[in-house]
Amino acid sequence: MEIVRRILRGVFSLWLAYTLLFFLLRILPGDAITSQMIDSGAGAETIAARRAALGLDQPLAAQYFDAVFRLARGDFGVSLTNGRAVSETIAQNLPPTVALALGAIGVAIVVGLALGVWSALHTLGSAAISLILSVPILWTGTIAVYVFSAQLNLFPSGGAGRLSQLILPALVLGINTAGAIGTVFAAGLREARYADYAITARAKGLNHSHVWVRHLAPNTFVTLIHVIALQFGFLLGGVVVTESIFSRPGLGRALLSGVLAGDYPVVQGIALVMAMSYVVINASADLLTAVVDPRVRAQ
Amino acid sequence: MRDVRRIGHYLRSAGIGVALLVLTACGSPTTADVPQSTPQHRIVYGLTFEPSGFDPHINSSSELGIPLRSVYDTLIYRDPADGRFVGGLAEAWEVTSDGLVYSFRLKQGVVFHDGTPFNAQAVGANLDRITSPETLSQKALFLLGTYQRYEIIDDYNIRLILSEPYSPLLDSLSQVYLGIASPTALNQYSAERYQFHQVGTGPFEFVEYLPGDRLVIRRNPDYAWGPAFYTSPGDLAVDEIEFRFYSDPAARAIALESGDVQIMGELLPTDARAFTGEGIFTINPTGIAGQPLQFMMNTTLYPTNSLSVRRALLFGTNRETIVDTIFQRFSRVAWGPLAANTAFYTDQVVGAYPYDPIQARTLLEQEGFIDADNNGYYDVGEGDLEIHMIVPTWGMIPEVAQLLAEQWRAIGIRAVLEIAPTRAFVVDAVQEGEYHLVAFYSFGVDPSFLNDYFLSDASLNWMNYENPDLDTLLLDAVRQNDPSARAADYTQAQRLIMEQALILPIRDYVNLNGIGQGIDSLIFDVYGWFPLLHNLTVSAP
Repeated sequence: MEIVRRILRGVFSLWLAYTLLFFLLRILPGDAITSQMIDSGAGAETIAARRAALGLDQPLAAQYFDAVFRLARGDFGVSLTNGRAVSETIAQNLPPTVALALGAIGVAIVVGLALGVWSALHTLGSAAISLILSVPILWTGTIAVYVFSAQLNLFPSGGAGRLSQLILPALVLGINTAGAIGTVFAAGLREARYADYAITARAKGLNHSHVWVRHLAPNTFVTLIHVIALQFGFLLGGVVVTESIFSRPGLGRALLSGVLAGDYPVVQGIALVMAMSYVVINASADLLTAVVDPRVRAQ
Repeated sequence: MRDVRRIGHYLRSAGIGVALLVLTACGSPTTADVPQSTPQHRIVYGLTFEPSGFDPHINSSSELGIPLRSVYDTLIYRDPADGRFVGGLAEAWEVTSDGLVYSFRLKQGVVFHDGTPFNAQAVGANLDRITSPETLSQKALFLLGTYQRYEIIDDYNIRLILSEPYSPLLDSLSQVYLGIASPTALNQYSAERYQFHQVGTGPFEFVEYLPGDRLVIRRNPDYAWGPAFYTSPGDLAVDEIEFRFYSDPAARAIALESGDVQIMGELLPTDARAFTGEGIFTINPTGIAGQPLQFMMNTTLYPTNSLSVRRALLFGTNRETIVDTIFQRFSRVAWGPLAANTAFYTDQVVGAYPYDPIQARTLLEQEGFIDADNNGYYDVGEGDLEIHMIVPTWGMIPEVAQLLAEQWRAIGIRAVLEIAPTRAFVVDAVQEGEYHLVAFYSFGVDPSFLNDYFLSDASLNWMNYENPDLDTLLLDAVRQNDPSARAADYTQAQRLIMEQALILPIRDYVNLNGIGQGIDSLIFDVYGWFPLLHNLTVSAP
């Protein structure tokens, strides 16, 4: 029963995200055809005919229901700019983005946990977290590629498909995400330090590191799983910037060029895939919590 | 199946990536696990943004022509040295005196990359595709102007029939958008698939296009029918070129510096200036024919409906400073509606509005403007004399607009900037009508594009300027076959446009190409965007 409720909630979230985006996109001025044709030398009638051929002259409600019905059948539609199926654009761009996201979340977890411990023990750690949280990817990314690619020649400056091309963007995006994980982990550790079970453990004469590893850390994991899952959403936002800086193919760049070109089906399709992955990951986080936390399992 | 394998490959590399990052935060890079083909002289060429589509008959971007100019031949070429029309796939042509029939004699022995022969039927098939309503051509179709139909005389002779004289046709036929593709390949693939399997007759064959990632072309060993200026490059010829996309301007210089690319287009002027001092990279500033960076002035909205105010804005603009600071002296100052390397450009407009803030203030005061509240700006009602500008985010236009705002403060005018991040935003802001200046421009060698801007009913006539005399000049210029008659029309038109102060031209557009060590003889065609890759060589060892 719980699972059915959860699935329904997920579907509702996706529908809401899709619908909001559908109408928000159309509030923005112009569409793909206007952008393409404005300086082509085509007359107003030609441009109007092209828009009509793509259904862009239909009332918004009609366009919306048409899009939703197609979507229900698994049809993401075709790009307004090049006529290719949106599903194909997604299939092509998904693998490098998944690689980047996994790499980055891996970095984020490792660096975040380390920062959390450091910050719980030392104020310098908190300062490091503040610094990471306040520096934008655009800046760290540009500096990283300048130093490690142009100056030291350690990594390629861009592209995707090879491991060496993944390291730098995954580090930049991962470290950016690590700040939030570190904050939550540190707060959890600080709180747990004075919890009854921790005091008891120390009173029993257990050594310091044993208390940290065996008692304090595991008790913060439950919160941490949720924070990591939530951070995944922000990470998807960071993908757009990271892919541009590192000239990587991927969903983020395809999304950006779709927005700039007014290519509605492409933007809607990619955004839906991103929303879907967010929903799935957060649902998985809930399930994982149930597995690791006996209290949740008991409920 | 291939996609599944690729996904697996990416996931695996991500998994390894995580593991490796955990172990060594900064491990040494592993070498490629993708098999590399081994052409002798392979280079990487950086493009500045990825066009939405790569089919020259359908899509309209300049970027697509950078690789594809060398995949396709056109019926006619323009000599890069002087812009003259020279034979391409057509070895000779004739135009009837009424300008309605263009007869082409085609070269024999030309073969498409797929082995099929080139002939008049192939030219016909290409024209059919471009003009078919299903193709939804965004540029090629409109380049054909008043073209109506073709007549095949025999295998190597074809006639193009026009409904009205249209003298820019030869220029159109020399552009990559009207490149001749293999009819076999066109038939084999749907309109949206063909861009991944392009087949021409040019000096390079199309190898692959992976959207978002790369486009690769490889030298055609059988190429022997190029125009005269395609010189045989010999052993040092570059034989494979991979094009990659660098949409982030700051990333371009870095990619060049890191050695990941050997040629990079559209460097930022500041990066290009820094490179010229270092001597490691060559900067090849290539002028782009067409319109300069220009602001159109709205002649129907107060106060730019006044000629004096428009002239005051021109006199109040220090273009040399703009070119010096923002464009790092790589550009020419623009004085009229055409860049200096455009056909039928006249230098009679040069110097018409030199920087003269005193003259600007005099004009405004003669118009009755005063600064009663002494706040440094002339007054309009309760407020200040304001100029509302629509500022697109490309081409360093925001930087230019900022500087203009500074400069106009000295002549008592307050500039209000409205930033427009996409073309659609620009169009939308124009349609609202509350603007005085808007920046927009097109590229091309034949100035027939002026008709899209300056005819009374033109779709880009954002000046809202209507003048039957200018209409007559511009319409006559595209009907006249005689170049000297066209030159006379365009000279008058350029002068009239500046006398009426319809635009504020800033600088001729320049593509700042950065070229790494070891690359020789990179030259561009007369349009400025398109490299003639046939002649490209690596340096002698």
